[in-house]
Amino acid sequence: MSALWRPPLPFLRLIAAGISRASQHRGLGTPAGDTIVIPKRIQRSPTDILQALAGTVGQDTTGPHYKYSDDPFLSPYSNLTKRSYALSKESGRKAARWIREKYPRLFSHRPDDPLIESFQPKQQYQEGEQVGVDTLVGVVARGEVANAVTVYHLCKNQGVALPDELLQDLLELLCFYNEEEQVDVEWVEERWYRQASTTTRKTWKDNSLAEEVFASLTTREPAAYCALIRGMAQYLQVDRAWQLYQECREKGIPLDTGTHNALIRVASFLRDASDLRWQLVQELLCTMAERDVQPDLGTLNATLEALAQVSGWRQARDLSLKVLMEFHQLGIKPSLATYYYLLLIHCRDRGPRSDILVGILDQLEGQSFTLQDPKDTSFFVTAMEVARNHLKSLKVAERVDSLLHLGDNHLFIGDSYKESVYYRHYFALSCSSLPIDEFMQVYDKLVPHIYTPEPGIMQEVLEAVQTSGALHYLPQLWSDMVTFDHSSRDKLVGLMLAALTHHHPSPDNPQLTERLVTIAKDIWTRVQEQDPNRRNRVTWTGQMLGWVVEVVVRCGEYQTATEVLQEATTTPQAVLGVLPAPSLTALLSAALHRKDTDTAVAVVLYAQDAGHQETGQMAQQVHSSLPLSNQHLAKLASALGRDVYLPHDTPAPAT
Amino acid sequence: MSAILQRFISRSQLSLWHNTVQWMLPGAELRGLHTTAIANKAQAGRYRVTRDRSRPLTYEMANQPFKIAHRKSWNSWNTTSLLEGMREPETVVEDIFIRRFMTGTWHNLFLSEVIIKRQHNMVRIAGIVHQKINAQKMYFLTGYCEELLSYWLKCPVKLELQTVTDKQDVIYKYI
Repeated sequence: MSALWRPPLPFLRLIAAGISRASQHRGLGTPAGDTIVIPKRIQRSPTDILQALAGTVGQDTTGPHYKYSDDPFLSPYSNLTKRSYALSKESGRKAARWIREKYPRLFSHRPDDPLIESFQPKQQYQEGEQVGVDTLVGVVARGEVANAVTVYHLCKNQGVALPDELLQDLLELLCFYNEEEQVDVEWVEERWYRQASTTTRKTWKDNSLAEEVFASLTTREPAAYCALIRGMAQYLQVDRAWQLYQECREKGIPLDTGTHNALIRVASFLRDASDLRWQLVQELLCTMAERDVQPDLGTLNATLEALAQVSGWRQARDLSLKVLMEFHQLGIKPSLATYYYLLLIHCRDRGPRSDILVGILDQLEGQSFTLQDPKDTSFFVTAMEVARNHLKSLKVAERVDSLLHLGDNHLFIGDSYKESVYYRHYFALSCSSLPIDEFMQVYDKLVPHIYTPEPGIMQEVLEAVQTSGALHYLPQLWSDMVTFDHSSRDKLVGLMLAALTHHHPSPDNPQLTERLVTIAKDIWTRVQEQDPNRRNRVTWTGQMLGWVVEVVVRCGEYQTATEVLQEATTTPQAVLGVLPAPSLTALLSAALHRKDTDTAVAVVLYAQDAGHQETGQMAQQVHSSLPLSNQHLAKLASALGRDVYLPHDTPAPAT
Repeated sequence: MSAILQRFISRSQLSLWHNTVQWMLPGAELRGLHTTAIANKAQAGRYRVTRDRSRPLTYEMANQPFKIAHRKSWNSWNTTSLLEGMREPETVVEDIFIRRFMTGTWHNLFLSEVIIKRQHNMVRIAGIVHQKINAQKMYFLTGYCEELLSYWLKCPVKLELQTVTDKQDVIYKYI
């Protein structure tokens, strides 16, 4: 028995080995030279464990984002509800914040020890309040722009002398934010859903407090010039920024790297022609070299941004690569923003095809990034757009996507707009390049929690399903369309009906037939029950009704078809155009088959009203296959008149 | 002695006699003669049966307090009553405050008890809510409660709500 026994698991085997080794050493002590090395303590931040834990959790594609309540009633599906739920929640938080600021005395309860600043009401400063230098130091350090302005004015009025260092800090704050209070960092959703402003006009406030503070400095240090030039350049007061720069050059005031970067970035606003702009950038770079100002990543990105603004220029591509090479030699590592500008320069809509993205991906694959430039967040969305529109390659798109989902890289997706554009490109590219079954796997993964298809994309999906004849996906698509509020869009409803007409019922697929005809009936009742006061309503067209009739007749729901015909006959003003002849013929043959004289006659009358050429033929068919009552004959005769020749050999109606 | 007395004298008479003796002889020894309500007649957490059995009870209400930890669970989860647990009185008062705040803010919407769970520095508030207002308003209230309560309690507060379409959905039985 013991000879047969083996430790079943590797670790047990190790333990067994350890025991045997320990028994060998027993009594001998530790052999000399076998020192124990205690590793050095690694300093951890308070959130390191949380981050490590979070790193083990991947993205959950099966449920809504964790900011929403985990309840079917409270889960959003369409883009509209995703947005409105998230913003509603934040709006509630803002209401609470308002109450706290309005009635600070209600929040004087202090169970926290030590005091937690962020739960306390924010200090508001009013006219006549006693302030000192420390007050201003505090508000500037916390970055409260509006408070800083108020306190500065209070200090001036009360004759408080402000030291130059404090004024410098204040100047930097005012220049960085252009004297505008920023959206609080805590309003995550507002920042997520806000449209990033891409204004290209001057927003700098002339003759504002920043300039006043600058003027009030007793000694103007280079840092003061730097702050003002940077602020002016950032908010596109380029002429005065340039003036100041010239002044600094004349007076020999040294400027730092960031200021040069800001000027390079707005070079295209100072000159018109592409080559002149580039000349200016070169001048600035040469000045930096002359004055021994070390360039950094910001310089690289600013230079490429300047080139991206003249990306139509023939030399832009070559120059961008040269710039990259030169900075590489300086030992400056590019960030995602660098690659973003490269994509802008090399992959233009009307330019020649460039494979630069593939090269970039070869470099980046397997890396995770840290945020170094505000434009870093634009890389992924642009890369996906290039993969779809420029390279038209799903393989590249998948590489971009796998890079995005590596480690914490998904944080670089930017904001909600960029995210939806990213997934729109990825989704549309998958739709056009993958076989339908594989595409539907992508669909199931992304929809509805990661991405809700926009109407245009839904249209592409429906067309793909129709082309590939995979009609068994239609029920799923229709239920998604209903939840995404697409069921009131003419074009999509029309496409869905058109796709349904491609179904040919056979004894092999009774279940599919039943499910598809349910869709057609659902569309019919949904559109009929629309609220007449609604703005976006589906308007029936003759073609759409024709499709409804065709589908329901073919799938054996004759009753619905008669309803449709009745609707079209009684309220023709609600229908644009008329039902096409093939649908009417289909309905007529079904009516003849069922010996439903009323419907058959109604079809003929409708066809006559609609002016179809086939009316005569239809009338003869009805006449020859069904015994007609006097009333029916009279109706036909009065409607058709002499247009239609009814054969004489039909039995004369009994009078 | 008291057993014999109880056999012959009705409860009200005994109580009257007890009071009289107390009044005439303050501090008189009456050991063995106790007239307080007996323990298993406690009324807290118990509901009176109606004649037509029309009183709706949720599962929580249908189980008496002694069934906690057997058939139902606690409404407040915290570690104050454990060995070296801290802030017991504060926690109790805060829980009362949270319950009042929640039922008042979600007016006529809570169909269950407000469950308060404390973990580390966080308070999680759970409950079942009636779908009487639309989802958007619910999200507004959620954000409002989370933020305002966190200002008072000085810690992150999270709401974990479930909703039901009909009040009947939470009724366990009628008595």
